[in-house]
Amino acid sequence: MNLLNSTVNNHRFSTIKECAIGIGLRSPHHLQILTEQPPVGWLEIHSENFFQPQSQQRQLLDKLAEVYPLSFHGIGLSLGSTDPVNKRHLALMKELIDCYQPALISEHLSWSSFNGQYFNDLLPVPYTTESLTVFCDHLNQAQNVLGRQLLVENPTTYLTFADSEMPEWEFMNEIQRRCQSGILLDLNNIYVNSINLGFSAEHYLAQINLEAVQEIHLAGFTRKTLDNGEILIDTHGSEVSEQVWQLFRILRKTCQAPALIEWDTNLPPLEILLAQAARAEQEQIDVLKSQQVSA
Amino acid sequence: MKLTELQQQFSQYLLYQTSELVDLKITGPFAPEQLMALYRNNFYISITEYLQGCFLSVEALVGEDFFAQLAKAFIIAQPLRCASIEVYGSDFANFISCCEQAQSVPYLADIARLDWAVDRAKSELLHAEFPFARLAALSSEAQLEIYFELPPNTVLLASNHPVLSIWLGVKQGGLESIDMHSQEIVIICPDRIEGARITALSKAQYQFLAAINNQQNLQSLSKLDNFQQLLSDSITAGFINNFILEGEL
Repeated sequence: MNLLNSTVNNHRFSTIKECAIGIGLRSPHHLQILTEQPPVGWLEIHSENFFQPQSQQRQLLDKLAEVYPLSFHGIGLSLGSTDPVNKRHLALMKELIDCYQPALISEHLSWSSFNGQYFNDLLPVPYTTESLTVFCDHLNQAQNVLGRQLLVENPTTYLTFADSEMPEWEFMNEIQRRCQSGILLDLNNIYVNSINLGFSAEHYLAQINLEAVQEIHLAGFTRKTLDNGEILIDTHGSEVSEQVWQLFRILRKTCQAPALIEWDTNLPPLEILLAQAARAEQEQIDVLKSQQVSA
Repeated sequence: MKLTELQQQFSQYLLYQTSELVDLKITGPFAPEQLMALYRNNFYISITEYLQGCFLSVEALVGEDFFAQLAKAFIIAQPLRCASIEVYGSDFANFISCCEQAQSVPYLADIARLDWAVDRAKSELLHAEFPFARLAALSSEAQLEIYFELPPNTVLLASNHPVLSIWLGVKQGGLESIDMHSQEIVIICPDRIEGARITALSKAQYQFLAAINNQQNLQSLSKLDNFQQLLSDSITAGFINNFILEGEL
């Protein structure tokens, strides 16, 4: 099928298959994906980039939705902020979701606005009962307006607050329990945090409610040298690290959620992303084989 | 510490409104100032990178370092007030025109206007050809009451500087041959192939298209000199792609 000449027939994929490997859709790859239709399991978009109904981005999405299951990943709802949920932003998100009915919708455990000012960043939340109440109130409000379950992604945080009353995995699990939301588990974020903040990534995986995990993110980090040491930065600008592949192998033994190769900065040719997706496919095949052997 | 207080102090630190961090009780592998610097830098860098993508020619003219200074001053002076960054930057040109540091490049604000218009036009969905059949179906009296429309995200820019020549010179790597005292008028509109198209206009074309933008109806436009030719040329060039009736205004 020539996608460029196709007409929209409102066919939509309502689910993403278990263990399907997807890639993030980024603008430099739009035309190539549209014309070559590479065999990836699904595509994830940043919702905010597609809010404008009469736009070339929407025209592209109309066509891609005919071919690939979609996941919508939001970065602007600022659910952890004490500011009220931005109703205009929520309305734009609802219009987009109603139009495409994506298989998955996700947001972040973070805040990005205060007193009406936005920071275009995912800022850290203290893990307190007050934060939990605020976040869950906002998440419930968003899920009610959207009429859909949201997945909440574990964040990268470069610091902790002494006032925090519980570890991140407990906070994540409690959000899921209170709001009946899902979990988007970013393995790179867990690894980066484990090194920077000093905890066991394997312990995190053992504590998180894996039954609620509906999506996995795989990405790369970079190392930044400070005056008195080194810190890992979650840049999404390089290949998935071997340490994160190891976490993926551990997770795949018990969790079949679809996984995404997420690459946002220093964007390489599409072929590199597809090679990373192929590696993810191979890693999970190897896990399955090893399980069959041991059985 | 209450969550509101924590987020207020965190925000103020990002915006250089405070250097106080003690109350946040930050812990981590490095000093609180170093950890917060990561967030502060990321805040300015991420928005600056977005602005760089929108204002390519401005950055090429002033260089990366000066652009970063301009962007940082803009971010502080006119904070992002929308959850989606996609609409941020519409006031950057006006900010530049008032910015003392930028006065040595008098055409910079108009180049920013041109960059912004190009960026917006590129995102616009391409529209259909002018509806001649619909126009022909109207009575002569009804035709006089119609209002022509320019394609969405089309911008008219009458500059006191050779704005198109400079913009093209930046892309092609040379400003030497440009008469910097000349003035240029341009139209920026969505284009099926290039994404955005910039065309130089005569003063008469500009006045005609500006009158359309100011919602003058056909009866009023027809009083302009050389009206028939201006209308025909504008439709052929794709500067006019629709009309509406008075009740649709």
